[in-house]
Amino acid sequence: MEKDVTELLSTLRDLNLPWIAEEIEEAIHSGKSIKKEIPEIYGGRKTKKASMIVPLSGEEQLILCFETIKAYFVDLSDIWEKAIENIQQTEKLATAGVQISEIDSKEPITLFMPAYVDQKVKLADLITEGLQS
Amino acid sequence: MSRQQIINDITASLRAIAPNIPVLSSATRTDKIYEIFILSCVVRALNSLGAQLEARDSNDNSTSTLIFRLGPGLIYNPASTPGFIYINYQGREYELQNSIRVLGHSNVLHELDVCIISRAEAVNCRRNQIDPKQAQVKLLLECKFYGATLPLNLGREYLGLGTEFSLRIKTMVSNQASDEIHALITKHRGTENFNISTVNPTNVDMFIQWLANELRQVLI
Repeated sequence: MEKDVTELLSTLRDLNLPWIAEEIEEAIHSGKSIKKEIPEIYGGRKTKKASMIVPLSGEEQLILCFETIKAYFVDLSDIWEKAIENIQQTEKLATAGVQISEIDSKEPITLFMPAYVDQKVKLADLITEGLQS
Repeated sequence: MSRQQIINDITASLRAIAPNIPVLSSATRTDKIYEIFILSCVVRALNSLGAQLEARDSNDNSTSTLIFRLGPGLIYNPASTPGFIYINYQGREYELQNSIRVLGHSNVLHELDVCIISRAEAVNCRRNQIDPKQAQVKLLLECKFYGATLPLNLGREYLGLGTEFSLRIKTMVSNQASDEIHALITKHRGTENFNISTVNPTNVDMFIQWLANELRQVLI
């Protein structure tokens, strides 16, 4: 596995987020499907398309890692904000609060802390830079 | 900035930010956020059709707070059941539900991420402490939030779920896409809606329009 990817996965595990690291690892181990042309049996010069699984390159592994981190650490909060906006745009739901609770509880679970907002912008910029480098 | 410097900075940023995103403590929580986002897309579709919508709690009372739950609920058990959205479309009543368990063709219970069921069925089930049946489901959306790629087993699971529910509007929705899952699902006459997230607002708008067109025909 790409050294930089290993480093990022190790960080995710240190942060007690092993499930994100495992998702990235499984995606890398699954490789990717490509199409290739192979000669037809008894077909002379004719070829046909077939598919095969190939490993991801180091660059592809790193991109996958960056994109996964972006999805969970950046995009997810945008999705939550948009969900609330969508629900509240309806006249009779305009003042409705939306929360997530454990089974058998009415207490809302905390999703994002206030300090996260500024940190998200910085991380998003770094990931964009990483994807462009 | 060098590649190594970027990795170092991202690592430092992750260490600073992680404690401020408690939602990442489990995949169940991130899945729930995506389910509610997709439910909110159904709300927009219904709103565009002029349906009357109202927030209800798990006891079927009007509420000012929609409570969604981290786990599947039985419609007749208020402690485990989430709130829902009551729908009145041209005089016909339905409920937009999240994560409730419904009986499939085999009489086995399945958790449906987002669904619309007939109001009469839901009321009857709450009153008699029984599970809703698949025949009363009008919409079924299986929601998958993933980081970068979708594992193929999700497509297989969706096909299995689809055989348990005979209805026009059933689809797999995800923030990601997979050519293999697309091929698998469409080969079996299923539908998928991939790349549905705030990253692709045009896709979200098209998805909502598709939902509205389908619901217009099913909810009459």
